[in-house]
Parts: sequence; structure tokens; C-alpha cells
Amino acid sequence: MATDDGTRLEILFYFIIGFFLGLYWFYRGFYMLRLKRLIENIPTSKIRSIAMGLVEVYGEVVPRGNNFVRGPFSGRKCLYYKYEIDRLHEAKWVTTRRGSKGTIFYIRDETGSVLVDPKGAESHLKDVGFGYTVGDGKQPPEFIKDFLVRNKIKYKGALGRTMPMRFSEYCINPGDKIYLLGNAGDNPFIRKGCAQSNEEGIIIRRGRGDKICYLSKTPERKIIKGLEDYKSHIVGGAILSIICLLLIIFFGFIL
Amino acid sequence: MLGTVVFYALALVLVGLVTGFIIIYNGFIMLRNNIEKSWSNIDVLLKQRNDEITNLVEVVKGYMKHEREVLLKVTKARSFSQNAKTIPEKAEADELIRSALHDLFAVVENYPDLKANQNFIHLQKRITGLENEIADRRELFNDSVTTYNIRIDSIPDMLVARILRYKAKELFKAKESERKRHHTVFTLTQVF
Repeated sequence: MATDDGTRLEILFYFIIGFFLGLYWFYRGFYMLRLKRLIENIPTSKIRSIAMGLVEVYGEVVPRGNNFVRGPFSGRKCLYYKYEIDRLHEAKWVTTRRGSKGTIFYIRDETGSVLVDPKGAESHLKDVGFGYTVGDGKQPPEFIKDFLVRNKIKYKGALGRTMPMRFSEYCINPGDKIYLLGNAGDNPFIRKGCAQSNEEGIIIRRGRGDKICYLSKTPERKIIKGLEDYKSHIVGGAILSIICLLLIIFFGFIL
Repeated sequence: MLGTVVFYALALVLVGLVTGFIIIYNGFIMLRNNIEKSWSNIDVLLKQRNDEITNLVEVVKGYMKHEREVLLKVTKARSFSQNAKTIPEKAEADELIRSALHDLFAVVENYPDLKANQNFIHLQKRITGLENEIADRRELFNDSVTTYNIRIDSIPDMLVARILRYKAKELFKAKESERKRHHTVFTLTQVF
């Protein structure tokens, strides 16, 4: 009986997870729809004539002087990176930690250049620039170990064995073509009275009010195509949560 | 039990419909604001160009005393632009000014003293820069209007557009009939 109760509770637990997962997918679908509409609604501007406010540009990334950041796992210089740390959980990789960092750079098209501050941007970078897997006796290299220690991320389990972990690093490098949706405004980093070139007078970054800054290496059309998945998220999420609710009531109250 | 699930399913459908309506409505507000903003950005440049044209004519007329027709074309185009009220009229005025300036700059090639004049060089550069910006912003404005016009005719946005009585907007593009009419007027002005 106790085993039956235990099994029932375990099943109920999974159905509750499924219910909330369904709700999350349902919400996520509308988030994707909103983002898709936002990207579609803003036409792509030529850099020489961008107006203040929410803008969309597409162009090549150019470093600003010698400003770079170093990838957390590869140690390679880049202008912006996003990282993910996955842990193995029941034969599946689950992302347990993610982060990003960047420095100010230019984006250039055939008409001119403009500064970009990628701080706080939501980025969509698909190609893994650097990937590494540890575990089963395989130790992380020194660079990754330093990163884990600095950020107080546990990588050793019982008996000092390295836990199975996967490190993925996505970078934006000079010469990459990127799509950017953000807020163009006066550059607050300019010191008054100093001579500055025109291309540093304006900077595109995350806005205060709408907090939008979206970076991607994929062209606009492909981003929109990718976001068309929102329909399956909405319908699938709704169906999953309804079925899980039905099963929760069945297992919870009837059986 | 079944009642609870049905109620929940209906609640999800209702939340979905309301959220969808809000997303579509907010999208329309954004598109309409984009159109207004991009139009204001064009209008301000059109006014700046008109002001620079006045200065340009002042600089040029001292050198080009025998080029009356060309200068008249420029001043008439400028006057037409200042009196234009609707978007198609302003688009037509824009085309006339471009054509007039093109002719003027072509004729200036015959006047080396004028070409070397610093004021003229500055004004020509400024007007060329403004023309490029107007062309870019015109493209942006027309993109915004096209997106809006497609949206109000597509399902499901069409349903919301009908409720709100939104109508299609005009592109920054001269109407063919108006273009022919003004071309004829300008040609006759040159003849007489």
C-alpha cells in the first residue's frame, strides 16, 4: 500500500510538472508571437539615417579600438559572448547556468557605422564557437577551471570526481554579420567638450522603458521563420496542461 | 471533475483570445506610431532641404545670369513643395525638386568659378546629404506603410482592424495622374 501511495505520488508529481510545463509553453508561445510581431513591425534602417528610438539594423561587426572581451571557456578574444553550462540529469543535458558579456562595438552597413552597447541584450546565437565536455575522468582545462572557481560553480562530486558537464560558448567576432533591434539614442559616454566623430554621437542599446535589445547572427527572415513555432507552443502547451490537469484530478482524487 | 477540466480549457481559450487581441492591437499601435514618426522624420528633412535650396539659389544666380529656365524650375519646385499638403503632393514635390536640382548641378559644370565657390561646395554637399537621408527615410516610411496595409488585410489582424475601423495609408509616392499634370505645368512654364 505504501509503495502504491509512493508510486501514485510520484506519478502525480510528474503530472504537476507537466501541467506547469504546459502553462509555461503556452506563455512562451505568446512571448514568441509578440517578439515575431515586433521584429516584423520595425523596418530595417540604413545606418546613416537611423532615427532615435526603437530601430532595427543589419550589418558587419567592427571593433572599437582595442576593446575586446575574452570567451570564458576558450579564452579567445571576441566582442560579445554568451555561455551555457549544462549538467547531465537522467541521461539528458539540462542547462543550469548561463550568462553573457560584451564590450561596445560598431555595426557597419554600406551607408555608415553606429555604436552598439550589447549590455543586457537578449541574444540568439546558434553556432557554438567553443564546446567542451567533462566527466568520466576527463578534467576541465585550466581556463575553464579558473572560470568555475571564480564563479563558485561546483564541478566536483563525491570522492572528488569531476561531474559530467558541458560548456558551450557562443561569440560575436569582428566581421560577423548581425541583426540588431534596440534603442538608438544619444551616447551618454561622450564627455562634453571633447571632439567626437559623428558615428559616436549615437549608440544603440537596451532601452529603459521597453527594455528591448535583440542580437542575432541570423538574418531577419530566418529569425521570423524560427519564431513561427509559436503556434505549436500555444496549442501544445494548452493541450499538455489540460491533459495533465485531467490526469492530476484522476490520480489525485478519483483513484 | 469533467466540469473543472472544461472550465479550465475554456479559461485557457479565453486567455488566449484576449492575449492575442492585445498583441494584435499593440502591434497596430506600434505600426501607426512608426508611420507617424517616420513621416515626421521625412518632413523635417524636406523643410531643411527647402531652406538650403533658397541659399543655393542666392549663391548660384550671381554666376548663372543666363540660366533663367533652370533657376526658375528650381524655385517653382521649391514653392510647390512648400504649398504641398498631402503625402502624394509632397512626394510629387520631392520628385520635381530632385529633377530640378539634377538639371541645376549639371549646368553648374559649365561654370568653373561657381564650382570652386566654397559656399556652393558646402551647400551642394549639404543638399546631397539631405537627399540621401530623404531617400533612406522614404524607404523606411514606405516599408512601415506597406507592413501596416498588409496587416490590416490579413487574417486574423483584419478582424481587429475592422473593429477599430483602420484604413490603408498612402505611400510616399506621387500619383501617376498628378505626376503627368505637374510635368505638363512645368514644361509650359519653361516654354513661356
